[in-house]
Amino acid sequence: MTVGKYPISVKDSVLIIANRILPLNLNFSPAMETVVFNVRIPRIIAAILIGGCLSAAGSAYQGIFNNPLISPDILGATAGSSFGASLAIIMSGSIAAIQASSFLFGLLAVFAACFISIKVKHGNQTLILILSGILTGTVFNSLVSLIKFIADPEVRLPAITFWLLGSLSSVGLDDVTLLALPCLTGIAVLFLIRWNLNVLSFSDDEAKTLGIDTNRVRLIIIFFSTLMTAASVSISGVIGWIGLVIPNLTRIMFGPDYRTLLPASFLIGGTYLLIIDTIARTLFPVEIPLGIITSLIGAPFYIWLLARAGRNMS
Amino acid sequence: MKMEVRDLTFCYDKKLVFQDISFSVETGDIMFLLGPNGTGKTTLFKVLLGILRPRSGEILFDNEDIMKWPQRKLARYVGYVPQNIVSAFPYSVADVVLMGRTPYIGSFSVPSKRDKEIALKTLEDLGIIHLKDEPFTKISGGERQLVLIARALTQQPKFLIMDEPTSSLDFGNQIKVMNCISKLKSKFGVIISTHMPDYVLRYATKAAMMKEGRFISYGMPDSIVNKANLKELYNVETQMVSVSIGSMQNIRVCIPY
Repeated sequence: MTVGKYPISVKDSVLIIANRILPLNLNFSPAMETVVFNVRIPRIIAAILIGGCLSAAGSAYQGIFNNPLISPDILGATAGSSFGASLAIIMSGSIAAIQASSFLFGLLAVFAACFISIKVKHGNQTLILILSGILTGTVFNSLVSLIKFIADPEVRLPAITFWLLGSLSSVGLDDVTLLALPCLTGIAVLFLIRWNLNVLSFSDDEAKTLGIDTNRVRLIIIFFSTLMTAASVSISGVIGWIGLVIPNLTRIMFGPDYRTLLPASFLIGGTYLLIIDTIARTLFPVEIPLGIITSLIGAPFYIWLLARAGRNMS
Repeated sequence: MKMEVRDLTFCYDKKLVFQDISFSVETGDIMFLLGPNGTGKTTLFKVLLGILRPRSGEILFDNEDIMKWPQRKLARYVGYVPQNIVSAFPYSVADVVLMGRTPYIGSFSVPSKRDKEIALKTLEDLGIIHLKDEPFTKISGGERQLVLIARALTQQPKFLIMDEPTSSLDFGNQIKVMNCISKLKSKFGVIISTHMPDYVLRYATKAAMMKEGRFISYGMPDSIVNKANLKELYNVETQMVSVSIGSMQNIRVCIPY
């Protein structure tokens, strides 16, 4: 709240917020108020929501596919969103149009993957679903490359590239309102079926013999995880790593039980992205894209974590 | 309670897996299913468990057709002990066993205190309560099998279906698991697949031999496990011998040669 290019002290920011809520009648410059209410607070909330949702969605996906190496873009959500955003940028759409297009194509990519896997009759449905996701993801990524290839290199191409690297710099109050509904619905639904998530992280047949309608529950989980991922990515652009790393980190810290794993990975993911975003906007005079920092900090951290976990296991 | 299976037939697309399977199991029964690999035993179990739909035939529980039962209701009647499995995530033994309570827990709910008590009681009954906080991924194969049995018992079912529960275990653990199962039989109807004719002679109240998707014999274990049937089933020569050890008189064993 207090760090950033426009200096506001801790005392001032507390007073500015208190002034809004309580009738204190203190006078602050409109610039300071704007920075606090329209820039910093929305950005902080967005960072927490997006980091939290990507992590929670990642942990849910890892559970239903029974594989800790899966991230929330496995079914093509991120590739679809990237295509949607690039398409809107090249058509010179407004920020709202970019977000809407990105969100819709993110959902579309995952539904396409699900549709293909239902059409293909095969014994191992999970494998087919993941393969379909990789395929739709590849198609959308190729389309993104195609758009970049034909995009005007002066204005549009940098815009697309920058979007693909992920950033929260343009997040405003409207974005947070847009983000809040799908994110909070998604996390609420996942949290409600947290026990079924535990049971589903064993094999499908076993989950069925324990009385779970696996097809229906899996579809619900995929739908809401995708909703959260697509909503997040449409606001922030591509932020890799979080959905893969945070759930695993949380699992090492708190165990695999979704009753604690789900809320914990939401909180840790939210905090993580908030810290990363703060670094991104303060470290250098120019903002660094988030995707770069999450990977640069994330990868060494993950290696350290793996080494530590490896020692504990042996 | 009585499970009655009549003329059950199952196909994958057009490929026939098994046909005209009929048998019945009551509370107190242990029925063993013998048969070579790939003969349809696991598929038969999956149909009994409601995982796969049969092409034709009936499954009746006390004369009630279970085909239309929802999975959740069926899970309160039939517990499943799969072949030795591993999970990708290190759930604690207590949590794995607690998952047996799932058919009694609402979709949006979590296990209650009572569910936890039932799970811990089962661990105690099976003598593995000391494992409760261990990660399921770190315990031995025999212990894991006992935990899976505990999970099935926590479902409080009427029938237990076990798919080769001893196949990947060492000798000591095999005996431990078999003794555990035979102690349980008074409360359940148990169906077990195995490759060990000696277990059938020792523990079964009923037995069936399955080959190429059919029951080639079905009835009392003593009358079924004999030289001719084993020759037909596995194409090996055997000799049946009777031994007496202390109080155990005339135990029949089967020696291949």
